[in-house]
Amino acid sequence: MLKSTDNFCRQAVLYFIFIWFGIMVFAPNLLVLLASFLSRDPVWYLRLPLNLQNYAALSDPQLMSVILKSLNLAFCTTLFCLLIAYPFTYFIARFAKEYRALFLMLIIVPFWTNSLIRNYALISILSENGLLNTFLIKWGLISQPLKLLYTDLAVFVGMVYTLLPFMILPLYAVLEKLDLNLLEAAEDLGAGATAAFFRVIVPISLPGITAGCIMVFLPALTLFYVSDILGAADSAIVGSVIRDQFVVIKDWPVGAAINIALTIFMLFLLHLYYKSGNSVDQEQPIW
Amino acid sequence: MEKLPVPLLELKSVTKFFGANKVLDDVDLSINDGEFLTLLGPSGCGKTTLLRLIAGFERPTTGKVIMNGKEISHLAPNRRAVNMVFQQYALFPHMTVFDNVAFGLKMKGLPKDEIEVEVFRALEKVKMNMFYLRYPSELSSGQQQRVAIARAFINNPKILLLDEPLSALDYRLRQEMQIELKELQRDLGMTFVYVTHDQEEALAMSDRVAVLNEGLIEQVGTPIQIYEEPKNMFVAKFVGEINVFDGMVIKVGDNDFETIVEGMFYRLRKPSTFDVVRGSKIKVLLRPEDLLVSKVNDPEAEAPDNALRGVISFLVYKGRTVDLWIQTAGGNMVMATQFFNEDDPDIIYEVNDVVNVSWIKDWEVILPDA
Amino acid sequence: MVRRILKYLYIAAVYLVLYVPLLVTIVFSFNNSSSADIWHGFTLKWYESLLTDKSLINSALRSLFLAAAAATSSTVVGTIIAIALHRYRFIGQRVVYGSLSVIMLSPEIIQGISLVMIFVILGIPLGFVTLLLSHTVFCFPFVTVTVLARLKGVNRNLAESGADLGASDVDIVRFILIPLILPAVFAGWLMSFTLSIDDVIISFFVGGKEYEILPLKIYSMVQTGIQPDVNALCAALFFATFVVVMLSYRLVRAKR
Repeated sequence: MLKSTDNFCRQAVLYFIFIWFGIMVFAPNLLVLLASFLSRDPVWYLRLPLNLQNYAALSDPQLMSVILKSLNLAFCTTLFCLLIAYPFTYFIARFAKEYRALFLMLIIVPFWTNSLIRNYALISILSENGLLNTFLIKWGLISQPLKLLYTDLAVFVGMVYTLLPFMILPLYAVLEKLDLNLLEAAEDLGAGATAAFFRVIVPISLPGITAGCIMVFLPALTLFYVSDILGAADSAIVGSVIRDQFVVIKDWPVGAAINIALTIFMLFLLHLYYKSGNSVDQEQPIW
Repeated sequence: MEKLPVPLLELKSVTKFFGANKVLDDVDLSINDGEFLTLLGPSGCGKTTLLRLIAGFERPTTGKVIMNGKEISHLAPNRRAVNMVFQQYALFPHMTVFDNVAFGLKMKGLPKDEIEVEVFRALEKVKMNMFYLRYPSELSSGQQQRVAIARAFINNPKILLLDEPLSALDYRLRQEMQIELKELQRDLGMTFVYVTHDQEEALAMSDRVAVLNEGLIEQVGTPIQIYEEPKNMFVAKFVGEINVFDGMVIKVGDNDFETIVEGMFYRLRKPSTFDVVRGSKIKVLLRPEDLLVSKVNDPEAEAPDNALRGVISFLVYKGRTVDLWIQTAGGNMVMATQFFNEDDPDIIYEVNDVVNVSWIKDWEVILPDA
Repeated sequence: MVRRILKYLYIAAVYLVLYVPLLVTIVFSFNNSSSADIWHGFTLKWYESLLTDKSLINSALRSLFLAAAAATSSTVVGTIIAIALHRYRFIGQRVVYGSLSVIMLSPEIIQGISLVMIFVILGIPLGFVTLLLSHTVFCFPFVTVTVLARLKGVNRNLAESGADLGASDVDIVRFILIPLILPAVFAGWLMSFTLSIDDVIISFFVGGKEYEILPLKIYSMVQTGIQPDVNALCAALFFATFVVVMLSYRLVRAKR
């Protein structure tokens, strides 16, 4: 028998949660799903009849080539981020506790300057007279400035730079909790240091690896402003296509269809994530 | 004639399931006003669940909890006139000692000055008034304990529940706190329900003890009844050390019966709790301190009537007493506790000494063979 | 020994990569030229011209105000949901748990598109309100998850002893739980503030012309070229944020 105010509070809070999730989380996504089956309307954006035409548009060869190129970029970005982030995170997770907080804070600090601005700053580094070319010429490594800016390579660099923290933070969450005794136990049981690392540490950190890969791979498909700022005219990624469908062409149904395809892909990755052991439990921050 | 105690709280055929797991099995118990009742049992016997049922943190699956004649089974903890001292004290870490103790009165909406008077009165009772500005993390576990107790009894509950409150303290402090708690209970005139797995603690502090095992109440009684007249093998073995002998009933008389124990013939008083039947097996139970041991100078001589012959296989000196483990001729290991008697030279026992073991008539406990 | 040095060099190199663009922004805000790649000597003229550029300053202030408002509302929403998940058992609880990690892991564009569609359908004009709602949606799960982790660490007996001492559910939350989870609530606020400041894509979709925040203004300037007074603004903002966060961090530390 709860007090009536307690009961009222409970009811109020639960209604609030249902309404919040209903309107702000479920309804928008269901609307996108619905829109992907509707037809284009020049004034109201959407109208009946229901059809599957929008999904057929996905097979357009021009769109397909953009998607494949974008997937390739996202894959390379993810792999590169993982290779850089893993040893880095492993090292800082081993520091004494009071330093760890500082090192972690140092990763967050750059976020206080908007990522678009930071990407814009990359122009000064990558341009023909930029910092990088200046240094390379000064050190005699190259004689002619390299064409870096407005290439696919520049987009790749921008993506790695922007998304590296999103690989580091989930990895940190698992590696911080790692029990060093496990490594010692493995070595005690006769595993070499390398074997111990790959057979003990890597499997245990798998949830962090998958979470990090999801948090890098999906944005690498969609951060259209990175390719806008650093890329060439043909450096479009999946995100640019979706943006154009909504903002330029104003074809909501096709944009929604691409969005749904992306969502399904995301759910597939999430499924892999939960299958990967999910030892980063739901209530732990993964970053 | 003895005045009948008034039951303050009654549990009527209370059963509690956690999922498919039966934690309490048809428990009946009444708690009298002003008594110190201890729920004693091994871990997992349901004693803590029983306490939480009284506090209101659990609801009985079936059965009733009745206080002063009114059913309170489904009343929330904050509507019950009971308070609890938690095992790990559960002091609010962000509040001072004063604020911790004042919490219950604040919730009742008492005026500030009244709260202050009450809090200091309570803190004085547990000798903690000097520490009222400290935070729990700045107190020793014994001090935290006192604060937790003050925080509970200041609300003047009908019943104060204590869940193994002394288990985190070291041995000496535990002894001191046992006495203090008992004095406090008398001083407050409050009903205490105390949970412990420590039988010594239970016997030392309680007016009555309820022994629990696997969700069942095995026996309720005064410490003396529990110790001297255990109703079954579980109680006998759980409360203190006891020696168990197998016996066979060979003849049953009006007030006594004849039996053979360890090949010796005994005439024992008939137990009041069950009927002994000729030819049936029984258990004869004896506390180590009830056994009489005497050294045998001539091992060839026959053992006297009512005495078992044995050899000391090892012994432990405990200061005031000595524990002897004696291997009997029948092959049993018997433990006997003997007090030192400075006038008696016989008291110097050694391993391999041959001894006779007997006991004072009628001090044995007879139980049916399960 | 060599391995140690290599290790520290590696750590330093990664931090260098993370900070070089920031440093470049700050350094070029003092560059006596409008070119973004060659150093022409020290000047404060970009800071002077920034002071006269009302629209740029306004967009920066809007960004900060939005981030503070969104962080506050997502802290309130996220904390309420965390406490509800912790204290109540209700239908759909697992769905709520699951959605939290889906929201945290889903790319911004999916959220941006779905939110802009619901706003347009509901006829809510794009502007501050839609930005605030959207930022709250993508930030609150981070608060919920942080607070839940802290709530898990709070001894269950504390809430029980509160109830035992006569506290109602509301009292328990107010006098016992909230004081104990305060550090996590603050961490959640800071996390939300950071996410909100950093966001581009969601704001791009749900933002409107009447409430143009800094990243969108800069985005619209990218094609025409950006004047170094933007660098000056970003450098100033960075230091302002840094100081505010450090001060509040100190304040919370001191209170503990």
